[in-house]
Amino acid sequence: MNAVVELWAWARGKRRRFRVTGESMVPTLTPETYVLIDPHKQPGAGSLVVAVHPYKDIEICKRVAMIQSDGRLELSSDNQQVGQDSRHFGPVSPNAIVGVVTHVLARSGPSGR
Amino acid sequence: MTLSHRLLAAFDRCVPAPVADAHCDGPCGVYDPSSARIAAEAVLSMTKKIVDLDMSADGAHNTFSRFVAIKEEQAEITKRELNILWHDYFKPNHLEAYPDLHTTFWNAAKQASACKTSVDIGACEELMSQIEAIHNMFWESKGREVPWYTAS
Repeated sequence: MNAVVELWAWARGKRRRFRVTGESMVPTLTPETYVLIDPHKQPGAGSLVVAVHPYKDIEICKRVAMIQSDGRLELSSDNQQVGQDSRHFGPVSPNAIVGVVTHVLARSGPSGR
Repeated sequence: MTLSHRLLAAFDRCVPAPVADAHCDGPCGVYDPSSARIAAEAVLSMTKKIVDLDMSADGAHNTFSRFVAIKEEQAEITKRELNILWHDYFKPNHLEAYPDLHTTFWNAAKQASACKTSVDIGACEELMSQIEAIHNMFWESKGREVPWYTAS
């Protein structure tokens, strides 16, 4: 049912589709997984988010590990052995958040089966 | 690959979705200060060979050139290996336990440069002691006891 709601929201332009590349969010999101994000939803601790990298001109997919008292967010990789996240580039501003992942459209790889 | 993924991939070829990057810089996660130590030992060894070289012997100039080239190459490798540990292995949270981490690596990298541009056994021995300090810091951060040793 949630899938229908999310697809309807996407069709009405309330969601944005992203393609996740890389392995830092394995096993939650395998490379080439398609996700929908809600650009207006407020992230909480544990949320999967798409954010603007603080130092590179790319958008990244990470998990919110913690929201600090000053509002900045610590982002973490589910695959911490390989991921680059707030352990490397520090907490990010709330303005860096592009949106919260609300739905996984389709996975690629073993964990999606 | 599921049918839904195939359909989306086909759709993506027509209307590409923006990429949310979940890449990593160092996927292997294998680090060991011994890489820097071995290169620094080579620098020390070549420096000693240069100092001991009899320049009046046949072919000495050729040998000298080779020793210098190897010394400089190994000094560069030492710096590179130190930088990999510094930038990729150590994380901001390590600074709490090792507040002089940046200074330690910075000094060691500069010492490797000094060894590259000079013929100074003392400088090479100082570089080795700095790498020993990094060795101790590294293995302590991993909660392992690995005694310092050298190959030569």
